[in-house]
Amino acid sequence: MNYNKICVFDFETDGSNPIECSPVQLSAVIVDPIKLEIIPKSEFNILFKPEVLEKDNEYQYTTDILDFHARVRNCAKEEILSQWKNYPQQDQSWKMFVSYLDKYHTRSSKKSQFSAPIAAGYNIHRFDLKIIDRLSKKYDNVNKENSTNIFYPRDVIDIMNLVFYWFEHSSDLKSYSLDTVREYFGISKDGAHDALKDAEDCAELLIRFLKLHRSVSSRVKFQNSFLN
Amino acid sequence: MSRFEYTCGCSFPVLNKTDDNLSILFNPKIEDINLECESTWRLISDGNTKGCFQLESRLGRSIAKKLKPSNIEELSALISIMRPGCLEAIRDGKTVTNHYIDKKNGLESVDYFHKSLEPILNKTYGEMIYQEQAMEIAKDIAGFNLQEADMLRKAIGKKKPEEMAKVKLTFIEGCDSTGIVSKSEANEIFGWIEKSQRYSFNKSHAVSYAINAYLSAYCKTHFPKVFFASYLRFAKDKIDPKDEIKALVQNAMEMNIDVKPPDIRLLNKYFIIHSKSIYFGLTDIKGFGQSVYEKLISLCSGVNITELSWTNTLFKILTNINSASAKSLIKSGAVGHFGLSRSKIFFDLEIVLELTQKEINFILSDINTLQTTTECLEKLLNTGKLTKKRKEIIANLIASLQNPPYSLSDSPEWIADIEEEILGCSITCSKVDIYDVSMTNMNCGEFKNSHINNNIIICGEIENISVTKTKSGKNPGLEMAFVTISDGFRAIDSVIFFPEQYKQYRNLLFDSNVIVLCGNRSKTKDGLIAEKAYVAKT
Repeated sequence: MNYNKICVFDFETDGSNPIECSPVQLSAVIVDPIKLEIIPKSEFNILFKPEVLEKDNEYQYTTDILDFHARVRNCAKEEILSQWKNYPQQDQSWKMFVSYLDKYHTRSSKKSQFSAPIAAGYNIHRFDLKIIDRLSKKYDNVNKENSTNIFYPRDVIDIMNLVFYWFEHSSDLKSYSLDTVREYFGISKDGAHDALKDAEDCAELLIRFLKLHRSVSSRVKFQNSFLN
Repeated sequence: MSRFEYTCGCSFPVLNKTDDNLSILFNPKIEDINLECESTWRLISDGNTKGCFQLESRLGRSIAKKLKPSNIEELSALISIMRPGCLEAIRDGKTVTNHYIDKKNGLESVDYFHKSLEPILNKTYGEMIYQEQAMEIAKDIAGFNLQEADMLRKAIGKKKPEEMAKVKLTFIEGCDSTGIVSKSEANEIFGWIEKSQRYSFNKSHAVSYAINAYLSAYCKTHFPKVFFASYLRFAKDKIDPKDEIKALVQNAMEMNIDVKPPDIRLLNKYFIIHSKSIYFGLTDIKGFGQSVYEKLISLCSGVNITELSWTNTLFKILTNINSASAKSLIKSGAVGHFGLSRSKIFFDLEIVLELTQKEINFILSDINTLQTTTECLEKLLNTGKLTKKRKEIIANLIASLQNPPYSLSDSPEWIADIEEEILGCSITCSKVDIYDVSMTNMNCGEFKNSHINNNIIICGEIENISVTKTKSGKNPGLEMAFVTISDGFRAIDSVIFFPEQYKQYRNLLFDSNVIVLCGNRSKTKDGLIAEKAYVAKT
């Protein structure tokens, strides 16, 4: 039985390579693991000034990342760049995220990483968690193993994996992108690629899957099922 | 009473050890205390003896409730029968403790074996629970003098067969010469004395314990605030201070005593009584130690802390003690008098900690005209000497203050959790406060006095779970659980999940979960037998 709260989060970044890119937005919501619902008023949303702009405010992006954000936000790419230049410093925003997570530890006799929220999100194994790890190292939020200490250390819930488990035998789902999944499940695409909207949608998907698992697992007998 | 002693373990003198206001409020002369105070005996009989000498354990409270002592004699007996000897001595399939309780409550007939023993055993319902009773018997029916009677006590205590044989012979001969009992009766009485010595207690000791127990109960009855403030102050010396604080605070609240989180304006180091309430001390906050306290006192010297504005407190006090301690102080509610949420104060402190000392000094130069943290930072941004980069940073900090990245309202759940973590118990609110309890028919506070016995629906937060295995019943060896729930009014410490219910609801039974329970009152009336359990909804 899991009692740790689940933090569903999402980064928007200034690049597609999680090893190099900088976050420009980080959003999260917290899921209550018992009631399986988003905890009211648990939304987090913060902006980050990209590292390249912190170093050189006149830096010129050579990739098409500004076009992508301009398309999503329906504005000119110059406007995106100008906004990014005014976003808060990375260290300030990061500290606020760490403080936010601190509020959602599960009560335990001794506060430790094991009472921290479980990290969850879409495609976080390949992308978002790598950024989390990088920033954790940069700002000294690491455990003895030099991994992030802001989340529960053992379990990570990548919702993309959950989707795969349920659709790996089917051709109904054309791809595993969040947009396709959203469309398939009938979730509105309005505001998609805003980190908060994505985190909230992912949380709803996660809740749906966890409820499904609970209803199925109560009808399946696992114990000694390999004996016969 | 042959001996009266204040044992070093006595709780009562603790009250006089307190240094400041407590000893002034309560400093009684023992001879002035009324030993027949009805309300004190009622408190003992209700089992409300947390903190009372010898009676504060669960066992002590339970036996006090069953036995309902109404004088020192009965209280001495209670103290004797709750000792390991009586609890372990089995006669006719029942412990001596239970024999005594049942006889006292008229559930078992009182038998003195021989009418000559009645005057000696009538005050203890025919049970030989004191060593002095054995000596009295030897004196009355075997004609022993006091020295011989004491030798009998010692011989039995030492368990040396040769000495026993010698004393037994003297006893039988003595009985023969007085002729009060026959030889066979004398043999049987001696055998009884011999067995009783495994569990009987020294009466003088029991009486001195009883008086100490009564005195602490008297104080709890008539000076409850002093009693609790004193006990809370010394809770630090207990094996598990957190548990002790929690139990005492809960008990104090049950007795309608207002216990409040620390208040920085009082600058009290330990628990104190102020304006009819008990306040936590600043050093009772986890993470706020002696050295930080001293630093705080030095920061406050020459300052009237009760009149300090929010910005003064933030910039002059909170930023000048180490940040971890300042955060603990905020979380505890000690800075709650500004009407800001703890999350907001915490957030503002984190913002201010981003400033350099030079920037803080700039703000301090004009602090009395600035009302909010935002105003302070705006003043810095607009008139301070800042580099372009610092201006950018300050502007972003102001933006965060104006539009924080997460909700800065305090949820009762969070408050309950942090108070539990850093004060040892939640005081300001209970996690149950955020749940829908409209389907319940009583709260934990009403449970004790309610006459409803069946179909009880109650909501509470799980405080403790003790899983055990059934010894008898339909299926011995199955797991069942005793659960403690509380809801901010009081706790019910015996919610019973029998094996069937435990199996069905075990997933809901974990520390700090809030559940709705349906069930019936137990035979003992103070417990709830759970039939169904649900996750509470907000």
